[in-house]
Amino acid sequence: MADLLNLSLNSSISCHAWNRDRTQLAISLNSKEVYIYSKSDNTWQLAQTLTEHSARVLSIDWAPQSNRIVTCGSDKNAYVWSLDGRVWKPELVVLRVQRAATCVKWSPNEKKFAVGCGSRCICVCYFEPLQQFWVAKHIKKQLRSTTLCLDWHPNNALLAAGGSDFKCRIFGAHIPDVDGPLTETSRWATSIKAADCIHEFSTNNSGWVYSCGFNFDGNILAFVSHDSTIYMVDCTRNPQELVSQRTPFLPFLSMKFISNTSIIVAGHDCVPLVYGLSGNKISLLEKLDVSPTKQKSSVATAKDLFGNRERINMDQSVNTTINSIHQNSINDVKILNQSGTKVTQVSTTGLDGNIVIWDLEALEKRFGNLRIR
Amino acid sequence: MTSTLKPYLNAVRATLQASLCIQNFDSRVVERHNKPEVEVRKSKELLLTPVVISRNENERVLIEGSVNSIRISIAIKKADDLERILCHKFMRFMMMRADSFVILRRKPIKDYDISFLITNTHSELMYRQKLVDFIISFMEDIDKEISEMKLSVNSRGRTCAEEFFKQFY
Amino acid sequence: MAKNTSLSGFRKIDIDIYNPENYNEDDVQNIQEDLMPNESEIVSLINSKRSNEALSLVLKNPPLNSKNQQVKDAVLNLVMRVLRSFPNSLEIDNAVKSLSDEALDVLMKYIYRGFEKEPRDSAQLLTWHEKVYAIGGNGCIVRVLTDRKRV
Repeated sequence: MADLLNLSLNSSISCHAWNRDRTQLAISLNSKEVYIYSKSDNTWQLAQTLTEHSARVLSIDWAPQSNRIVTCGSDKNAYVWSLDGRVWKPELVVLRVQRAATCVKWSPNEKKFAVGCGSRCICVCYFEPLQQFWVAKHIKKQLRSTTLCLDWHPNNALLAAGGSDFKCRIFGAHIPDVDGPLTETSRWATSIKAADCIHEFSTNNSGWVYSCGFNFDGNILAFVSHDSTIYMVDCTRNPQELVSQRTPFLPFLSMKFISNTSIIVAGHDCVPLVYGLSGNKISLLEKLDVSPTKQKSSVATAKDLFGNRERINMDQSVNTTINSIHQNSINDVKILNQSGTKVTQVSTTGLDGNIVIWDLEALEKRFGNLRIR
Repeated sequence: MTSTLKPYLNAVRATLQASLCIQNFDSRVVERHNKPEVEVRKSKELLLTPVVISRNENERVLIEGSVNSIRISIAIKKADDLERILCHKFMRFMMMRADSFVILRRKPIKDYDISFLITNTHSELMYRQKLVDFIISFMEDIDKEISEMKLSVNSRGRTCAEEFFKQFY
Repeated sequence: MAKNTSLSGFRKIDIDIYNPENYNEDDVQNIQEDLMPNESEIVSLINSKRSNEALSLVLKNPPLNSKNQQVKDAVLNLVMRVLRSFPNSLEIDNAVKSLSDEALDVLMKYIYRGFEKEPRDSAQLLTWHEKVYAIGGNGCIVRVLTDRKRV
């Protein structure tokens, strides 16, 4: 139902990514390194440590078909890793940015990827065969602050980006040299000009947009922001208006579509929630709160250290666990398995150093109200 | 008097929980730097509205938030000069040892007696809930601590005076 | 070396803040007409012991976009009068329950503003804070913190 993956990590996890058949896992422990774990006989073993970044790695994405990993971090760089025999070899991407690269995402056709960064631009990167280099095209329009999240439309031509300027935008990111002529259009825009801002959506209460995403048919854009509100736009509706739902919870840091109309969100509240859009109303479908099995968490030692130093608090009874599986903020949600447009398994990682696998089918049986359509 | 203490602490606890939603964020101003934005104050969009919770005119808490750090400043009840001196000395004592208190700021904000600075590193290392508990129990105990000290200063003063006047018998 | 280089003041100018691409607070706040709750109507509602209606009315048109601090302070005073007019916590409970999500957020903003401006009324405000928090949850406070449109 909700299983804890035991890698005995002693630090918080900043991001993670799976390979295509989910036998390998790339994670970053809030440090310069990226660890590749591989599964053999139901145990996870460290296969390789990727050391090329000189500062904290902020985002990882693994292209399922071409089996390439892209990482980016605070050192303003991004690297594309490809498997050479049995070892991963890095290739530097020429981003031409001056601030930290915060997020990275492969396009669905895996010919290009987008990198969001702190210097008010988004880089759309592709391989230049003449120079044998990964080069970047910049999108600069209307960006006022750091880009915190990205997601590609299934047609490879549209890119959603949210940032700390309280806005979520849709850009045209079609590169004719790489993608070929634009064949598939969408209902978001009649014509797509490269590097143009097509739509701009503001948050109600000026919250930083932490995570955004298109659904599987690409008709709905959803995003979550620091004002504890969930936003969705359906482009098939006329007019294309922003639907929002205020929630009584702490802000969400990550979201993923688990069907065409429902999303799983997780964040500072340590418990994943499922929200669904029907008509123009977003409603809470289920709180995935399974009573936790007692476990010793990795950060307990640090806490003990603090507790002992703290003179006044000494006589207080120490009850460190809260009533959820994750013991600290969840910062990354990834899809693990899906059948068609219905996701059956997701994985979450958090600041507590836990990786949790959520089996949505089993949870659906357990919670009567949870119907993922 | 004590009847308002509990709702006061509850309000502070709720506000702390809401503002402790912080995460790693690289500086937008200086490349390859990562600083507590609440102290640097260079990028306006990364700061949150500062809020005050007050119990009465003298006791209040200021919570300033930002994307990767929050600053909590506490003003403590000071009824008379003796309490003012005691409070000042006690806070100075603690702030000189700020390193071992991890989240203590070395200087208080103007108009407040003591300040804490919590950054995303702290929230990664320690449980958020326990950080909140710590601040709350600190606020609970500080009043008690000061009035106890006041009593002992008074009794010590009395003993001293007695001893001094004995020579005139 | 030319003489006027002794003036080094220009070296300390932070040129980054003049970048037109920078985030600008004023872009967010689109200027609108000052909407204000009708004072006499609210006072008459308070006087006729209809505090519930007064509360929902006073939270309807908060001067969030106003640049005029005096207008905001006047409305704060009005809100405080309404909040004070509730006789007991049971009434407060009922009033808070009847409010919409949006009105709850606005009320929470006024409560925090009240703490700042009128610490003498703290005891009352603490009760209100507790009740609003019980319904609005953490999200309600988070939205007070994030919002640039202040009361």
